[in-house]
Amino acid sequence: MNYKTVLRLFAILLVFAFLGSAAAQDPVQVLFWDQVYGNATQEAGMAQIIANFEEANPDIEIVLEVMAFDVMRDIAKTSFEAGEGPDIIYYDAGPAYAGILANAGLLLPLDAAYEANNWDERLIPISREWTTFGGHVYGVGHELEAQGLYWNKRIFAEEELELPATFADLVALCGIFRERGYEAPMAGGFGDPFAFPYVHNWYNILANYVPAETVAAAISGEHPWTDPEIVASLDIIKDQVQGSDCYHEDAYALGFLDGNNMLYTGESPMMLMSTWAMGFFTDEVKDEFGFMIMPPIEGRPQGMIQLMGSAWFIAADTEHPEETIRFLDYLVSADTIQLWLDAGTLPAQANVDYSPYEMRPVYRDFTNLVATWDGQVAYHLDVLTPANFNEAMWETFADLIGDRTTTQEVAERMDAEMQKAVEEGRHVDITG
Amino acid sequence: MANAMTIRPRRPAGYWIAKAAQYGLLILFALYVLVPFMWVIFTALKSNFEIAQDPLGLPPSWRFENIVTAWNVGKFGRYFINSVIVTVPIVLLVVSLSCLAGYGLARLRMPGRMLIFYFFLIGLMVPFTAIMIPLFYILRDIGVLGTYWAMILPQTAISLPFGIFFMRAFFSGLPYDLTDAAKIDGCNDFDVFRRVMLPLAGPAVAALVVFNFMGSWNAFLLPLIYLQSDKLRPVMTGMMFFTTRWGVDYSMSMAGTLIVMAPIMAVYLVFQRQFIQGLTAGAVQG
Amino acid sequence: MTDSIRHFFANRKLRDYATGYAFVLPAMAMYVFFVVYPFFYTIYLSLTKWDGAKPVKEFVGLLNYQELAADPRLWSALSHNLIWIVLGTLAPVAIGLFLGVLLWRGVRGMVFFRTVYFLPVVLAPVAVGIIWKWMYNPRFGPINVTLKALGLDFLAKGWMGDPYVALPALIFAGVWGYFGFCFVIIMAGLQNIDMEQIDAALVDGANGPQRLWYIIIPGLRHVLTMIIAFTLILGVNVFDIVWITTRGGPGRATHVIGTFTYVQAFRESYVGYGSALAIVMGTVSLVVSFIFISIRERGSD
Repeated sequence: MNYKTVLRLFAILLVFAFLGSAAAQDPVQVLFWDQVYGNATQEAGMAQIIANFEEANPDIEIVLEVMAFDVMRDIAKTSFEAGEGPDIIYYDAGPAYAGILANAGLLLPLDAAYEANNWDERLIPISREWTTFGGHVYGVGHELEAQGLYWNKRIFAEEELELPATFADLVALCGIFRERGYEAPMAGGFGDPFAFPYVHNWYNILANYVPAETVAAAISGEHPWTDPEIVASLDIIKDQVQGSDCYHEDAYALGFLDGNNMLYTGESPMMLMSTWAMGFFTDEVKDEFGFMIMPPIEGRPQGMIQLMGSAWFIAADTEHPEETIRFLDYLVSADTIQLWLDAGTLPAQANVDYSPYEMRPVYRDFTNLVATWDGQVAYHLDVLTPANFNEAMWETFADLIGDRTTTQEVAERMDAEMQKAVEEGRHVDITG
Repeated sequence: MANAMTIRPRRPAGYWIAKAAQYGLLILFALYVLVPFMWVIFTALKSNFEIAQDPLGLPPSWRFENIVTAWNVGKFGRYFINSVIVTVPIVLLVVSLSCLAGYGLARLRMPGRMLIFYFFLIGLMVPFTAIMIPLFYILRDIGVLGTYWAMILPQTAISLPFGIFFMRAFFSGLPYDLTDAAKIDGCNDFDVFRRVMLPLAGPAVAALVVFNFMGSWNAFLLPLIYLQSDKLRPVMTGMMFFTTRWGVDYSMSMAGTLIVMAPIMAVYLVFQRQFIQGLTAGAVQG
Repeated sequence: MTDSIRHFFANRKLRDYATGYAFVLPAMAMYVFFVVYPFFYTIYLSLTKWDGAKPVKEFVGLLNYQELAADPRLWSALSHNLIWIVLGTLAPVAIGLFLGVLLWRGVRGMVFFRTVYFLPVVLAPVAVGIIWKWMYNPRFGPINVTLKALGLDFLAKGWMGDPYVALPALIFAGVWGYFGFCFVIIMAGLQNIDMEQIDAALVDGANGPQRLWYIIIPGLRHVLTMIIAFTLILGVNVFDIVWITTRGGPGRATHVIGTFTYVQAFRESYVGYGSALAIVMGTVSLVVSFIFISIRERGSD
């Protein structure tokens, strides 16, 4: 054996060792499509979660792509159909969004995963309820939210005003603040294409005006949307909230995020918004805020709208189901709770005792509310209603804003779309 | 014939007023064009805080690092490469196929020649929307969705009617003596095409190249629907993802816009005449 | 068999024909497979109800078209296309003509003006949309900030968020991106106008508007017809600039038939309905083109 042969053998050995190790350690890539966060804090939170997961699971690499939610809705279906979709996607639940994907066979049923990971015990019930289509469960929920009223503690103290005890008090407060020179007693911007904050405010009124069972029946297509009570709730939102002096006169020109900003900067003392906005109380926001459920309308039962922000779904054609489910399980584990809280979102995990966790006082108002609420649980419509219903609802609300239609016509249009959806089987039944 | 004592008539005052108005209007429209560009540049070079403080003002510190940040965060390098990877084959294919078919329809005798030409012409009137839906399923079924071919093939096909129309018009205008001479020398049709006609087609081909380059580089909807993955996205579609992602971060958003606009504008400023000729030649033709 | 093939290739004429077809074949193949076939497939799809996923497409005949005829959203979108066509053609052509006449006799800095005016044409419509979305930003955009600074607060609208103003605002942006194109073409057309006629008219005492109406515009007839036709087609097919700025909103205030079709077919999964829409759009486009081709044919004697 001369040294040349030895060298050659050695080289061959090296090559094999390299190949072998590469093959063994090549991390599996899991493509994760996430929705845009509003700010750097939330992004940092997700980055940390991913980093922690990758450290604990060196055989998996999470490739993160972030995009605006409406852009994601544009391309999700075609991407999955083309076989180019992500392995795991954070997407809106409900028949109008994930339902369409599930019914097209593009999502992986998670019945087995729910059992294997005991998710039914660890997650709140709507995680399963809202992501079940055609008898199978497809998603794992996240971002438990409620809708309510934010208020600026400093301003209320300075102005020596009491918190509103009834809805009428709230409307009166708008007038009082305006007299005292506040151009925008309520923060809000409705200039984005769908004017969805306006519509979401209506859900809140509906929740506090019409009994939850009736609303559930209407969502399931079993009760007409032209019910005079529902039309009355539309009148309330139009005249007493949006049409009053609560909002900035330019509110209909402002974008959604710009509108919310008026609360954080102290321009507006109040805001009707879901707890999704909690994520924006970053360190740059100096004032302290409180969160409460919207005060009741005289003589009507209060309802707290609980919703899930969105849910994680897995592609039906994913090449790495095991790894992807492992990541999904991590996202709903106890490890991540503090990171979610830092980002201002509440996970959809059940029975969590939030006392040991650090969070801003305004979040604590929310977690206490969730823990102690024993009133009606109400509905955030568009994650439960079919796509054509939603499109019609947003369009007619835009017309309502422009005074081109009446509340009666809005109700009639929604009813017509719901009936059409029932005929085509595009609705969900939540009464069962 | 000028003589040494030419008397120059004094211009009436009205003349100067008219001249001032003329230049005034011309400059007004020039401002209409330039002001938005200026603002994109100014906004891109400020921080968000500076934008909120003084939206109208000059950038206080000309933050060129914004551009670098936007480039890295937005992965524009990838997007530009993708644009090149799809545009080059598209331009090559369209030009070569259009020259072939355009020459054939202009000079070669075959039954149904005019019918074939009108058949192509109808394609000029069919909008992309009318074919985009089934094209998605067709491309999926032949297995190219998710590859660059998903854009190259359809974009080429829809650019052919115009290209053929254009090259046919050009070749029709060339004199016959050249071809006759070549034929007498024993060339077959293909040789005539390759050796005689094609070299003369320089300016027309250049115009067609510019036209198709712009069409492919500026494409948005077709890549959105067919090039699914972020790894394949060309620059204009990529810009939409970028600006919607950073929607409220105006500084970042405009920096990205500037990155996307700059190359085309630079090339335009250098090659104006070719650009203008290329893009308008098609319209002026026929 | 081989005899007739040999006979075929021996025949000069047939060989010529075969060569001709050979030149055309590659282009024809791509065109048929990626344009013609999909077009007929769209027609077929428009006669079905399909969500893009179910293996079976349900044939429903002309039902989609009937529903379309009764759908107010369609008429709203078409009306927006019409407005776009009218304003979006009149304005840039008028501006192009105006600037062309101003610059006609040669002016200092002509190259500068031409360069500047044509600059937006080079930009992708998507880029034009993004730039103007920023210009129209209600809080920080230059337009509103300037208006407020000048005390004209009441003019500072929500632009892209205001259903009444969004479409005209968009068209204004579109004109910005396009008038340079009209200008350059008209300038080229102006070169072909007979100066002697103008001089004769001057001698006869014709003033500016008379010269314009009686000499310049007729002289530009060919170019004007062509550019109007071209712009009309663009007005029917407009998509990118609307989508990137308002996505058809607010409500349906800026939906044009292109964006509406996209939403129906790709977002709402009403593939059959979307296909019917696509056919309607294709028909409108074809009709408009036809009208203009025949006007041109009749015009060029």
